[in-house]
Amino acid sequence: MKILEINGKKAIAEFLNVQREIRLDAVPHAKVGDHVMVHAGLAISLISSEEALDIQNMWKELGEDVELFI
Amino acid sequence: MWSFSSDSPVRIMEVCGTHTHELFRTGLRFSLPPWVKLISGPGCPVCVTDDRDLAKVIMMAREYELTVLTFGDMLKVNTEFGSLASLRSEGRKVEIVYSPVDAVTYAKQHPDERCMFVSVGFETTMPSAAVAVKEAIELNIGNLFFFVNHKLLPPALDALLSTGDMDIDGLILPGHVSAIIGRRVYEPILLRHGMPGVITGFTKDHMRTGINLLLNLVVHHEAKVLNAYPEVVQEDGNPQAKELIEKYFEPTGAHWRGLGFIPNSGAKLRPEYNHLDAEVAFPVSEPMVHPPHGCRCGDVVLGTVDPVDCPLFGTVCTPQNAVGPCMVSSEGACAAWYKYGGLRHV
Ligand code: SF4
Repeated sequence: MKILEINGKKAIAEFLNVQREIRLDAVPHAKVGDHVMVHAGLAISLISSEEALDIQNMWKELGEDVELFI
Repeated sequence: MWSFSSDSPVRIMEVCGTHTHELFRTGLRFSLPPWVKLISGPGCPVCVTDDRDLAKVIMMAREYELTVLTFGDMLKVNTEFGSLASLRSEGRKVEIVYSPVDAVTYAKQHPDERCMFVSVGFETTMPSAAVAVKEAIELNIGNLFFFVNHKLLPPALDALLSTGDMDIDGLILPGHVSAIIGRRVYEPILLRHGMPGVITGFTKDHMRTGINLLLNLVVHHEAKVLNAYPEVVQEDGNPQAKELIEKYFEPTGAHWRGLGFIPNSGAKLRPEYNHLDAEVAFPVSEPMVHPPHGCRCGDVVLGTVDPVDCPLFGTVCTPQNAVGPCMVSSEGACAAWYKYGGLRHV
């Protein structure tokens, strides 16, 4: 997910037009614009924009409802 | 020299339920040569949750009139004591949350309800649960209790590889769990069992690379643990996430479907957070449970049978009318086989 806004340890992040509030406790150096891997509402790892694009493309190809999965 | 054929294939276990689904969904499973056999492993948290633990949740909710907060996958898992869904039809509140922190928000917004968050999952979910515990303490939430039933992957792999009847040549190790725990932690276990393993991501390219690397290790008899997902997985994992886990949880023995009781393979709240522990606040007697009649989910998570070997698969047991958790959970092997594999061996 791409971080749009940071507010302390909370952030708003977006993936394929779905926005969620996430926590940044485990990636303290994350900045607005960074891509993170999110699990159960917590960012667990920073990822590169290429990696994020790969994941996005995979989801687009599969055409599943992303809202159910993130 | 190894010689593999469809009669005597290389047997690779994909430990993680997400890999099982992605291997089907991306079609990669169907494009592998016939001498490679994929076997699903125990990495589906709902599938390995023992019936007695879920039965306890149901008993506690009934006896103490609790609101249950849970991840959606747990809802339809049936036990002799009913399911969380049936609890709902009895009139108890059962709410689905997307993250453990949502449970804190819910409890805060419903101060007149006694709430219990059912905290299940592997190391991947534990930091998120730890943040929820932290938040509940910081916000002084008095009506939220945690039923902590987390599972730790390395001790389970050790137990799995120690069972005599495992016939596996290599392991595809989960990318997300490894993002938390790192690569190094697997090494002593896999090396002791002479088992190669490759940490792998979840896109088709990641999985293809991971499988190729693993096949290479198997063919050359190299019991190494490789990290094919270095963009996410560090040698020792995510230090902040591990710190969160260690601050709020400690290892404990746990019951696993299929694997039985494994010492130090689960996590519970540390004693200083006892006041938030649902099992301390709402004690119930240990329920006697039996797995659903005819369900082979315990063997499916061990990889000793394929879902299609279960006589109930696709007939009595379907995603719409699931008998066991391996069909209920979106990460379950039976659900994946039903959705993508049909009724044949693949
Ligand atoms: S198909 Fe259903 S009954 Fe059979 S093992 Fe899977 S979950 Fe259990």
